[in-house]
Amino acid sequence: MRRFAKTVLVLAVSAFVLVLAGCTRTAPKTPGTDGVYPVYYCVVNKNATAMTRVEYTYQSASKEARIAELLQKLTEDNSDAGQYAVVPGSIRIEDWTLSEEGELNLSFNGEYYALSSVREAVLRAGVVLTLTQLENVRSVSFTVNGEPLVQHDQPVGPMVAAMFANHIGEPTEVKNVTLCFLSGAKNGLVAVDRLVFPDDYKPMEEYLLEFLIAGPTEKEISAEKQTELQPLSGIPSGTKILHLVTKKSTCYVDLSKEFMDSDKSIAPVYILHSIADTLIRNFDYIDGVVISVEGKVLSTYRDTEVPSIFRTADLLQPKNQ
Amino acid sequence: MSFILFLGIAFCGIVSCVLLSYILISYNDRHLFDVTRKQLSDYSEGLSYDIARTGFPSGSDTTVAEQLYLLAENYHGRVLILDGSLQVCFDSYRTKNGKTVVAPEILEAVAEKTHFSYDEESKSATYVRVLPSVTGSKENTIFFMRYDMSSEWSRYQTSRRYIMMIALCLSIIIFTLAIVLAVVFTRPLRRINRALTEIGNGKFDERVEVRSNRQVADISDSVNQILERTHEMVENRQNFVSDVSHELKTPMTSMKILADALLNSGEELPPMVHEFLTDINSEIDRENHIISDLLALARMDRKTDTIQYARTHINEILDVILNRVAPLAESKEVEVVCESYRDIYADVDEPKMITAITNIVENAILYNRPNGSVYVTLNANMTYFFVTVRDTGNGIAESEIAHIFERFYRVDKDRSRETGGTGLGLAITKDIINAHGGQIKVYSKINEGTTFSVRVPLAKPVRNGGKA
Repeated sequence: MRRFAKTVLVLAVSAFVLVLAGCTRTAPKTPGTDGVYPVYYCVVNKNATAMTRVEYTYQSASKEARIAELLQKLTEDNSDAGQYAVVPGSIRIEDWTLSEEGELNLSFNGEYYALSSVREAVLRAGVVLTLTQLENVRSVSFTVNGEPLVQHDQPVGPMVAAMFANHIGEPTEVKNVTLCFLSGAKNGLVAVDRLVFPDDYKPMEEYLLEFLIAGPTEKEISAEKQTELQPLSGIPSGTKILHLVTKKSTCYVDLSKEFMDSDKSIAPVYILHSIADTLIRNFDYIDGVVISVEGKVLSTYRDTEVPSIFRTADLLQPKNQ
Repeated sequence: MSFILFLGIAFCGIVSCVLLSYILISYNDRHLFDVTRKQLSDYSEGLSYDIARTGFPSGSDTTVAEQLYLLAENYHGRVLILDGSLQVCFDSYRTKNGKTVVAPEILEAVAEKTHFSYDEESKSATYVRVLPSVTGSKENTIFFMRYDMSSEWSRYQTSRRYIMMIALCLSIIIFTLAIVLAVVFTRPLRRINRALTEIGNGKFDERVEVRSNRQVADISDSVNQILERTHEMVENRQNFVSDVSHELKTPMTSMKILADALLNSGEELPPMVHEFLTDINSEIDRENHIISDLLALARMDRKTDTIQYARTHINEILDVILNRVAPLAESKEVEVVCESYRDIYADVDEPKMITAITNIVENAILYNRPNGSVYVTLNANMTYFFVTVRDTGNGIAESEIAHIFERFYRVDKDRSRETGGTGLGLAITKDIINAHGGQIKVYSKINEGTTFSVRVPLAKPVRNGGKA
């Protein structure tokens, strides 16, 4: 019986880990199920008009050897597979050093400056995105002929993965956002900080509103011991964002008609300010929010008159320390 | 003919429909992307001047940024401006500012100066263009725009559906039209064919009167001219036969009287003279018989001898015939069996009908084997009465059957002379039956026998003259 319970527990934990690994993107470096980080190296096509990733398995265990392995891959052509090195043949990596702080410095020969600006950008992106996968490499810096790399007469300095994107919709960095949910006592708002790593196919404002509609996570609710301060979503779950645009420091949000069917026990001001305060707090370029439903700007919400533009209001409940 | 015409029209029509819808859909496809593409191309052309004028993105003038935000909003899309090092200087989503983007669309645009793609899944289009340098600077500026095309896409899908529906409806209409046209166009030809079939059955006085269009009218006229000439030739031949027969009949009658007078003079003639005179007398009888038949045929042909319809008890006719042929049957040792299923009355010319059927029954007896049989049956339905005469003779070869109704045609030349036939009996029978609006058919098998089947209308047929 105990063995059975143990098996069920192991299976449940494994399933949970799998779900987390598959669905959440809260961190760019997620270990695989076997505990080993999946590693890739970047290659380009023949004309360097597309950069792709090729999966790779380390051959050695030490961090220096692994750096050398990846550098080897970055300078190696595999023309049979149509994969060409991110670092073209004319460029030589003469030396590399890894500092205690995790800054990897690569020394290139003088041919580096002969590269076109676009090809140089592809090289930097491919090298940085590949090498910063190593846990001990936090940033990569380039020197050319012993001098730090300069661009537009400015030193480029250490580069991190978040500075590059392989696709327009690709997320580049983990963001810390503040979501203003309703308090459990329904008499104010509570701010919940969350680390997010969303895609970049929609404006960030839209992702935040989606988080707000989806409501707080179990973890966020249980983190607050006082029931009246536990976060709660006041926006009806079926609400859809029809359109969202930010113009001249005002964010215009158009919601579907489901937004009108909110919980009657919650005062409209909290529901509306939950949206407005979340947007204003997270984006310094927004200082006002206009909410409309099915294209019509709200003048009343559930028989309560509302302003045409929402500014931030002091509705946040103080948190118990 | 009508099926081929139908296939031709339907094929051409439906192929045209498919082709037309394909052209429209292709045009629609191109047009869908072309409009916005052209707008963006024009816009980005102007943008390069604005960038040069305002020093965007480093200048303090925010006009370009405001323009770009407006553009992104109008197209429900995202606008990025990148410098020559692929670093983002402007992002309408504000998330990629300062980042280096090595997206394939951008790299391809740098190589090709422009890039356009459409993603069916997200229903968004991507337009990237390396902006032309207006200041002569070698530094590139890249304009990137991804915009929503779902409304255009749904409009496009709707118009595509409409085109396909219209094409389908048109195809159905063409299909129906093809059937109607095939029937209408071939109707005159079918009428001509019907008229020619009648003519083929010997009705040379028929005329083709189909005038649905000029071409068909021309064909009708040509056929009628041929018929006119054929009719003249047939008439000349009939007149000749009739005249010759008439001219021969008087001397033959005189010869017959003289031969009879000599044979019945009571004087003892030398045996050889008596024998010769008897032969001459029988040959004169045979010749007379032929002349009578020829005259009968000539009269039938020239319609001088019209059918005198009268309500007649057909069973009685059959009795008369059987009585008439009984001595012949007895002499040939052939049994004649008659079976009539009901009392039948019909409008016929009694003497001619007796002649017609007698000819058939006589043939069945004459060309039978000794101790053979002849079975005669009489039956009727609501429209026709049927007489079948089946014998147990030697049968007629298949190749001969087509000729047996021809004048003077004999299946067995040697034997015919012995039986004393003129070779005109079946020709006369066929003429009489046809003149009554009936038909005669023959089925025969060698060594088993022959069956003649006669079908005659019960009522006097109403002739429409074959006019269309």
